[in-house]
Amino acid sequence: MALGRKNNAAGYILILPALIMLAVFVIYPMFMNIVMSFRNYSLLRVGDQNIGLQNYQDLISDSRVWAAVSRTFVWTIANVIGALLIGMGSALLLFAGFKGSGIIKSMILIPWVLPSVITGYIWSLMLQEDAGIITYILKSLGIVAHDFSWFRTGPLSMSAAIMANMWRAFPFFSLMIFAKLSSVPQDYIEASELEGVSPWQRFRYVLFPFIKPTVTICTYLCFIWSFNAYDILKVMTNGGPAELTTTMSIMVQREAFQFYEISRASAMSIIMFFIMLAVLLLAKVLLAAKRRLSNGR
Amino acid sequence: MADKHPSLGIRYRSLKGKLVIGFFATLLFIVVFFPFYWIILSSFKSFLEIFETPPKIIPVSINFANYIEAFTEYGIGTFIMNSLFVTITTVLVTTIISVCASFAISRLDFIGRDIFRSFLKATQMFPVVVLLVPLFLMCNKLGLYGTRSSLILPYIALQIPVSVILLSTYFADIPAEMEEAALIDGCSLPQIFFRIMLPLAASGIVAVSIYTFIQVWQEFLIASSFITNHDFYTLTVGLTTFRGEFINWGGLMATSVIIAIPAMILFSISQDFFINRLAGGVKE
Repeated sequence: MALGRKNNAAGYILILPALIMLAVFVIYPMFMNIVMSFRNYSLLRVGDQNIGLQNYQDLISDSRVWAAVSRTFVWTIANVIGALLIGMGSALLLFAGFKGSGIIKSMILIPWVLPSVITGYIWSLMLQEDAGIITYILKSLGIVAHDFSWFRTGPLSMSAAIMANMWRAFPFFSLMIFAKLSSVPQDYIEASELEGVSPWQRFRYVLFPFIKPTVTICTYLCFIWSFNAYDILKVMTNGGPAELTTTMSIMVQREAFQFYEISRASAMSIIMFFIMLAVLLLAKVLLAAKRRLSNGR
Repeated sequence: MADKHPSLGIRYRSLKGKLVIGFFATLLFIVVFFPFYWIILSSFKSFLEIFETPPKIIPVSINFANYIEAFTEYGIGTFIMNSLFVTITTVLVTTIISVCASFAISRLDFIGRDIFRSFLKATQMFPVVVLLVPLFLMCNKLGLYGTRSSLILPYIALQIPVSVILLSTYFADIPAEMEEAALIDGCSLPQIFFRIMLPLAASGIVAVSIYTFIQVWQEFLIASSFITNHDFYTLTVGLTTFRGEFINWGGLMATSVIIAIPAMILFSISQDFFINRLAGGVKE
């Protein structure tokens, strides 16, 4: 680094604009959110005061909040498992190679580039009760009943939205895992071929150990993206029917912008944030403990 | 890339293996591309054709009525201008701020550099939902609520961390000899920055701006919460105007095509960035 000496002033001047923007529009709002969560500010009432932990107590004793938390986990876990399995499967497929795999590889990211709101709408259209192409095919094959609808019950609505979200998310993981697979040394693969191992054994003992760190990153990314996801659920189910697909982010947005309960929404979003941090931290601790255990042996 | 791994068995693949791979490859192809086909196809269908059973899979006629209606009756022209204004302003400001910051963290040494870097990594993943309420209050206080600035300012801040991190990899790739030579020739720091670093990082700057564009172009949560006036709707929010008593699917899909086109074009321009840097380049 030739410019690496005595450049404190230049460095600070150059990062200053970024620092100011982040301080004003990310850090300060975060603190403001915490402060707000201890008040009882609402757009429907005049005046507000400090009420301490009242909002948190109310929310924790509210069964609707817990229902939303558990739905957020159902939604997130299903998305993580689904998107990663499909992502890994398609990465292996691209890695194995076939006619046209180059084209698919260069185009596979386009579901991820398509605005998520549109993803929500096109899947709603394809899953529509009568004329939706997917529902229509399932009905004519006799797989589902004639009066079947995706959007009448909670679990089915949730599955519909999960399908759409997985379609959007998996290509990214597919490419990440594919890139890692391409870096597996040729000798390893050739050696495994000489040994005459089955494809499954080759995956389990040669390829998987290599891509494991990438799969871990993908899991973290997919967890964070899905946990905070809003667009697709909002467009496809709007949290319904009867709140059965209302996740935390849908609930926070509604509390603030439909019910105008600003402080309650603040407290909700803080709870949501700390649940997310807790899961990430727990995963980190567990992974570290597991690594220590296996190294100790 | 896949072709570089012939030893994986392409040459010796059995018929059964070929069939299995062929089946899954076809499935993958359909899963990835069919929804796009369906968006385009539906954008040409009339209201009745959309609800026809069995649904027509091959276009009967190319009918632009939905596109015309989207402009004349739903006024998406205004939404397009709003989206363009918000996105382009955000991209320009974000890029200028991020180029400066990423040059600093990848080529200069200053006290606190590593702290700033970790700070960016921490804010990069910050969920928007958590900032939604306080940003709303701030915009209210500043009298910005409902204006396009109430979108642009948060967007810039939220895009900066990723943008700086991605850009700094391009600056870090520039060999140190380049600036050493420039220093010996007596170039000042601004000269090195403008004459050497910027041109060398240009392709990266374009790619990262495109990434920012695609992200901001599709933003929905903040836009749908902060913009209440129809005249300031961005395109993603504007799609909701097609939902009345019933959904005008044809118009919605036509508008979706219009929204998707810039994102798709920009993506194809910087495909290499998305495939190799963004998805392929994530380090442990």
